[in-house]
Parts: sequence; C-alpha cells; structure tokens
Amino acid sequence: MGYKEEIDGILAELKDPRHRQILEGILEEEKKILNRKDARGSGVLNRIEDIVKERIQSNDY
Amino acid sequence: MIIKSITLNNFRQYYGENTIFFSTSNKRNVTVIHGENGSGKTALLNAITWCLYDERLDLPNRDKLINDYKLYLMSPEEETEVYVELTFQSGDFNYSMRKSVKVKKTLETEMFSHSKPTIELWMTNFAGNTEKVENYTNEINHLIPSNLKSYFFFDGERIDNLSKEDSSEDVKNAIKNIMNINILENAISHTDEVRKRFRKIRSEEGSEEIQSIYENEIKLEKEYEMIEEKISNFKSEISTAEESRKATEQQLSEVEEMEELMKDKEDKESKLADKKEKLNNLDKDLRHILSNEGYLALTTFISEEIKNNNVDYSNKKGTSSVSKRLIDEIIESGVCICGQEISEDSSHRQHLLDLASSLDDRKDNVINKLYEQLGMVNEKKNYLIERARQIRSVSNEIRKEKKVLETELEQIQEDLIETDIEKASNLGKKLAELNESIKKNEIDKRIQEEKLKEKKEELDKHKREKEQAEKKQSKVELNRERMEACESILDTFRRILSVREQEVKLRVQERVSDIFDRFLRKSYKVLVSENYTLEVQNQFGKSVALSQGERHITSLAFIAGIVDIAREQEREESNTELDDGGVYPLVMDSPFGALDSNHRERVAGNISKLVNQLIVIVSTSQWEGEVESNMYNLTGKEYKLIYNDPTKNPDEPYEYTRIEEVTTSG
Repeated sequence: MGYKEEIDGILAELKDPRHRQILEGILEEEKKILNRKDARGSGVLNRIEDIVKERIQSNDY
Repeated sequence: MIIKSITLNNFRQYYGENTIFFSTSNKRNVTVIHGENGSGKTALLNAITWCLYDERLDLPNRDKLINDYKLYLMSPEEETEVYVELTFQSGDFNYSMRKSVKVKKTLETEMFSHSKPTIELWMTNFAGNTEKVENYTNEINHLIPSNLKSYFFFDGERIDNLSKEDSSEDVKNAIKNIMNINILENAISHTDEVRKRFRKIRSEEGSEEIQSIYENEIKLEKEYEMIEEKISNFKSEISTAEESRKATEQQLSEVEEMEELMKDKEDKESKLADKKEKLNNLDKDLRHILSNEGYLALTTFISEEIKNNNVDYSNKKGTSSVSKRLIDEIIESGVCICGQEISEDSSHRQHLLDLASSLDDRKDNVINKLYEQLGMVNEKKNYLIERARQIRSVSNEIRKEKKVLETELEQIQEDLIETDIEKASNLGKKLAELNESIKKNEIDKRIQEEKLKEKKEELDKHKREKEQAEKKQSKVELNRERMEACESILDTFRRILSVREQEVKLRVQERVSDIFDRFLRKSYKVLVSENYTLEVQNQFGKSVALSQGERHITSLAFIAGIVDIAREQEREESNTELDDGGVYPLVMDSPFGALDSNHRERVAGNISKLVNQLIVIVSTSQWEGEVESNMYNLTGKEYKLIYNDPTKNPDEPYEYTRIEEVTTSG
C-alpha cells in the first residue's frame, strides 16, 4: 500500500463527516498562514475555533 | 523567490554604489561573481542575509559597516548612509527591501557612530499596486524561513558541517520545513490549543462534580505528558549515545591492531541480534498457541468428570436396568427367567415386547461418541503440550547460546580496555561507558513505558467515568462534542504526520542519493538515518568515514536534493492555491574550495540543473578551469570584483572593491 492510500485509509476512519470538514478547514488555514495568502498568522486559534463551532452546532449529524 | 538585484552603498569593502543584476533567465540561470581573496566575496553573501534577516554580520569586525575609503573621504561631523537594497520576485509579487544605517564621522579621524538600522519592505502586486509590508520578518520567513537560510545562502567553508553527526536537528528541520511537514505540526499544535479552549469552557459551565472530574483529567493528562517527555528524553539520550558508539567503533576499527577483534565483535553482535530475534519469534509462537488453544488445558478436568459420571451411569444400567438384547434373547428362547413359558399371544410376551421397544441404544451411542471426541481433544491437548515443550526446549538452547555470545562480547569489551595500545584502550573505555549508559537508559525508558501504560489505563478509566457524568449535563454536551471532534482530528493529524514523515524521509533519501551519485566518483550511497543524520555507506553497506571533500559533497547533494524536491513540489501544486514557495535561489560562497578537480567538474556541471537560480561567488582561481568550462554555457550574468590594493595605489590609501560586469558571457 502506498503512502497516499495509507493516508486515505486514515481519513476514511473519520466516521463523522463534520470532523473531515473541520480537518480540511484547519489544513486550509495552516496553508494560508504558511503561504501568506491571509493576515500574517495572527488569530489562527480563533479561526480554528470558529471552524469547529460552525461545523458542530448540535450533537447530531 | 528569485533575486533580481542587489545594490550595496559604501557597505564594507564596497565603495560607492555598486549594483549586481542577477540572471533571471531559465536557461542561463547562473550568475557568477568572481574575485581575488579579500575582495569582499563573503561580505557580499553577508550583505544578502544582513538585509533579509535583520541580523549582525558573520564577519570579523562585524559592527563596522561603512567602507574604510568612504570614511576616510568624509569630513568630521559629516553623515552618510550605508545601505543594502535587494529586489526580488515571488510569484506575481515583486519586492524591494532596503536596510540602511546612518553613519556619522566623529571629530577624531576614522572614528564613527551609526544609527540603528532602518528596514523597509515594499511589495508590488500583479496589478501594479505597491504597499509597504509592516511585518517584513514574517513576509521574508514565508519566502525562505530563517532557519533554512544557511542552505540557500551558504558559506562553502562551513558547509561540510551538515554531514557531521551533530547536525541531525539541522537536517531534520530542513526536511520538515521544505516539505511542508510543519503545516501538519502547526495544525496539531493549534488544534490542541483549541481543544483546551473548549475544555476550559466546559469546565467553567459544568457542575462541581464534573469540574472536579475535569480537574482530575487535566492532572492526569499532565502526568501522562510528563512521562511521555521522560521517554522522549531517554530515547534522545539513547540515540545520541548510539551515534557516539557507532563513531567510537568506527575509530576502533581504524586502529590496525584492533581490526580483527572489532570484526569478531561485529560478527558476534550480529549473531546475538539473530538469537534475540529468534527468541522473540519463539516467544510470539508460544503466546499465539496459548492464546488460541490454551483452553485445552481445562479439558483434563472436564474429561475426568465425564468419565466419572459415565461410570455411575453404567453402574445404574447394570443393576436397575435391563438391556434390550437380554429381553430379545428371552423372547427368542420362549421361557422367561422366572420359568414361565412365553406363548405367542400371551400378555407376558406382549409386556416383554413393550419393555424391549422402550429401550434403545441411543444413550450408548451418545456416550461412545462423547468418548471418541474426548479422545480427539486429548490428542490435541497432548500435541499442544508437546509443541509448547519443544518451543521451550529450543528457546532454552538459544538462551544458552545467547548467554555464551554475551559472555564472549563482555570478554571482547574487557580486551579492548586492557589492550596495551593506549588509543584503543581509551576508545574501549569510552565504548564500555556508552554501552552502560545505553543499557541504563533503556531500562529507565522501559520503566517509564510501563508507567505510561498504567497511566493510559487510568486515563481511559477516568474517561469512562467522565462520559457517564457528562451525560447528566446537557449544557456541556455541545462543548464536549466539539472537544471530541478536536481529539478525533488530532489523532488523525498525528497518524497522517507519522505516515508523511516516513514518506518524506524516503523521498529525500532517494533524491539526495541520486544527486550524490552524480557528484561523487566513488560508488557510495547516502542514507537519511532514523535520527535524521546523513550517513554514507560503501557498496557493502558499511558506514564510511568521509574526507573533508566528501563531506562537502554530501552536504551539497543534500541541499541540492532539498531544493530540487521543493521545486518539484511547486510544479505538482501549481494548480492549487499554493504560491511559488517552492522556487528558491541558491547563493553559494566558495562552494568548490575543498573539492579536487574531478569533483569540481562534476558539481559545476550538475548543480545549476537542480535549482531555479544559482548565484556562485568564487575566487578567480576556483572559477578558472573546470568550473568555468562547465558553467560557462549556463551563465547568464558574470561579474568581477575589482580590488583596489592600497600598496599599489598611494593616492587611494584604503582598500576597497568595485563591481564590474563582464560582458563576454551570456
């Protein structure tokens, strides 16, 4: 099994689709910071917190 | 990032304003700057990093920025500006960066004072709009992180440090930064912080009972992290000691008189490792058998019980029951055991027939079958016992052989210490100390690992209790849900990071090996070890001690490999949102110094193909010959540093340098 397939397998274990969306959102934020597409890294924790809050507003999915 | 130009104004050796326009061509991507020793080559490299990274010069007399000749020409109290200005491009953005200091000549000749440096960075976007970048440090760090600058702006005289043993942190950081592993690491660290935020909110909103549970959870997690840290420290100490042990063994092998003993040691160590592996495998086999078929041991008791019960049953049958066969025989004979005749139509005969039909052999059959199965179970059990005995017997044999090898190795260790050759004896003592330290740390590590396991169980138990308590608290449910999302994502990130690290290490190793092949004439190969050190092995897979030139080549191959991978990544990601973070310049000061003629030729002919922009600062003697002939057709710009020698020019009593473009190339 190649590395890509291995990572796909790990991602597939995230059963709650909201978790997958949050994960992708966080990575996107981190990429923006690293690649300077956005404000210079300040407030990253707030943005990640917002991503989680936005996706999880109730206990069911 | 591509550097377009540099302007130096009265900076160090450079008198007046001097500008170099670097080649930005794709085909002729090399800019060569050559000059005599002392003409300011290293100052030029320093000017770039001084401007970009706001740091002091790495040169003698580092605080003196102004050119001596300029200072000589200035009047007392006169003020002038010393500056370095860089222009560069990254993706659609053009940058101009200027770092300057005001220098004032004092009344006393050649004394001066200067202001704090002023740094300005301006960015022009693709639409032509220019804005000042306030946080220039961050901006530059996004283009080339400061902890990587020594790879992209490197001093050839120090470059071989990368291939030394203690450089694993540098190698690790270089790999991680260039391959964006830090995105995942940052994601893990930030998500964990956010998880703690949710936990805090949850704690504040919960009841007293639940708050106490949460407090306990924090305490347990801290204890868990502390144990993890201890384990990590032990691992790091073991790893360092192992590296030193390897180096010491290498040194011992190089002592002629010890060569044979060391070979013997290596041979025995290899055999010992083999024995250990066999023992491990046997242990695994035994555990496998016991966990899958160990239940058979219980069958002894069951089998005894069945036998006893069946004896009772048989006994009962013999005394109070009548067998069907006996009744059939009585009917057949026509005379009952009481002497009465049994006629065809008699009620007596009918009674005996009824009795016979009520009896069958089913019970006997069942019991027989049970006995048969018990026999099979017993056979299987006996086989299991025999197999376990065999494994134990083989294990005991191997243990004995292992013990012999360990004793022999201890003897070799003593021989190494007690040898008359002082150097070898000292190395032997060092080796013994290292072995002792590794052993001790291994034991401490294992103790902590056991503690970690216990703490994990404690945490899991606590988690279950917490879940029960939380269910009662609907108002904290949402935060719990959010926190759990963070935990699940963190776990996924960590697992992905682990896979990605392996992948990246392998990719770097393959690329560096490939480049190493092109640079080095010997058929060695380079490995990135588990501890992120660069290890060079010969064709027999043995580590080799490198000459300075070979170390130099190893480092160059590593840098070229890293830059080449970054460039490849940029191509792969060009369709995504990522910008051209993977385009890098490579600025090399005296990269050919430690290399012989053949290696110069190999490096010069290959390195420019591996980077987007190559700026080579060399002494005239390094440039002329094989370097020039191999790089000439790839050179887009060539400059010469013209050095004013005050001993030859009495009108200008200070040394200084001017930069002149050589127009013959490109």
